[in-house]
Amino acid sequence: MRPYSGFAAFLWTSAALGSASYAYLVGSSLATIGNTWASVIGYWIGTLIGMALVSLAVGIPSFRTGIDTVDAAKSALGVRGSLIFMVGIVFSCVGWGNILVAMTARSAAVLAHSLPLRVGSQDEGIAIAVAVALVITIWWLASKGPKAVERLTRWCVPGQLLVAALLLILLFVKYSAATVAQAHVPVARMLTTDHRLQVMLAVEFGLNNGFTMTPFLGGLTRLAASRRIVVTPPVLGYATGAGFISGVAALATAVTGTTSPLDWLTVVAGPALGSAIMLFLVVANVAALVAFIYLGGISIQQIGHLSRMPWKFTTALLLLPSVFVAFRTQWMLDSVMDLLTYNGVMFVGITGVLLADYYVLRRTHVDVAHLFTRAHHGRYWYQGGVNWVAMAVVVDTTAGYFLMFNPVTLAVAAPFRFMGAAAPLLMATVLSYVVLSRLVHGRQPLPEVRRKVVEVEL
Amino acid sequence: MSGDPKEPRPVDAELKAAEHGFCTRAGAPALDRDLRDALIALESPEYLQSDCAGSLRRPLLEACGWLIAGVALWVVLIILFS
Repeated sequence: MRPYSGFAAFLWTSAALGSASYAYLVGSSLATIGNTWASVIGYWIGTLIGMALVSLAVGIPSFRTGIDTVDAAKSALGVRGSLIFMVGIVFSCVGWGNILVAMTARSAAVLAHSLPLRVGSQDEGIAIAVAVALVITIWWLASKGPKAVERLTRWCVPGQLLVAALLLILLFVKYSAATVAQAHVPVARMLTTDHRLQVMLAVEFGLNNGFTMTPFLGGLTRLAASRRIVVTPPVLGYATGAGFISGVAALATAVTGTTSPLDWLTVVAGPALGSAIMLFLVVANVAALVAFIYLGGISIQQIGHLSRMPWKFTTALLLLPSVFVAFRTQWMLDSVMDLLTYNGVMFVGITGVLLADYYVLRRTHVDVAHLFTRAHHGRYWYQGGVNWVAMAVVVDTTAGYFLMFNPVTLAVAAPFRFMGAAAPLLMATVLSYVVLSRLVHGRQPLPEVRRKVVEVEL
Repeated sequence: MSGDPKEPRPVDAELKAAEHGFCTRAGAPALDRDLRDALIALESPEYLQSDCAGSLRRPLLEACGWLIAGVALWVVLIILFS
């Protein structure tokens, strides 16, 4: 029932999750913060801290109970309240999946320019054709279920890591080690020249990257067979996978002075190899897309009626917006990415609530049967199935986050320079949730540590 | 089985209530045989003696270790680059 028993296999899978193709785009953005090395190292450290917290909040509870994150979160958010978590997951999966569709389609159109066959004004047509072909391919692969996801990941992820390693070697061969070590974007293009703020921004980006794993990590750790592998492989693997690819992209951006991966790929690897690598990355995106749709499909099956729908229809339902996106790829990239960035902020508050609930209020004991009890006598029913205290705290944290730091405009408040936004807000979330829960719910009775084996008749 | 058979025991009631609730795996109703078996398995002697049900001391120490290491590195980075 729990297929992961080896440390290396779990580390590899976690590294795979961190090394999606869009890490190249993240890396290009990292370089524009200012000092390249501070940005790369800060991003890695932020991801490490974020993953350690997510591991505590969702990784360990799901490992313990063998259930996925949405179900495990019911003890804190309520049996119905957990639906908001599910909506966030589906929105993220489908949204980022469609961003990848749009990015892949636009990249393919740009790539077509570098081929001997000149396409001229047919760029939009190529983008639409590639996007439609992608949607059909993703639906076909996602319909095949988790085996297809596993097989695709097995082949694409090592390829992505190898490509990043090759690019790093090419960087050092083409430019001297001293050039790479001293490479920064021009001062005029830096987000800030304040060194302290550069470090804070890089760590904040990393923390947010770690928190985006909140909805997914439990699904992975519930498959781990031993306590020995449940924390270090996901934390170290994910942070290092994401940090390595983003780091290579940041260095390439700083050395070449171009932010578009297609541009610096051509400069670093040459036109032929650069185009070949870009083509590989376009294909590799399919694996990430299929994984996104698969995870989204699993999540919406928490809704009773949808759970009875055949899997092929479920994936088709999730891909319906992609049909529209296929014809509006540029609009998707211009308008929807910001919305998704805002959506990701809610995971900071949710992580804080889950941490406080599992460790402080419940002392690591959750009654699993009650997580599936949609009735008033259920231990996690709260008011109408929703823990309104948790909801209020999550909303407060999200609002507070935007006051401290806007992840789209990158505007920061003065206190951001000292601790960033996510770290102090997470601590405030834990504290306020514990205090408010005690005030509203009183001291909740802890579930029995060991329940008797029960006989059940159906 | 003990107690009055006409009076549904709490766990039975919970599980039956869950039949109209959420589900946990692709295409499965809320309380199918798999889920019921999984819930019971969590209380079986085999599970309680397994590594998964053991003390959380090690994973908690590991997670806190990475957290402290990350924060320490963050401070070092601030000192080095500020």
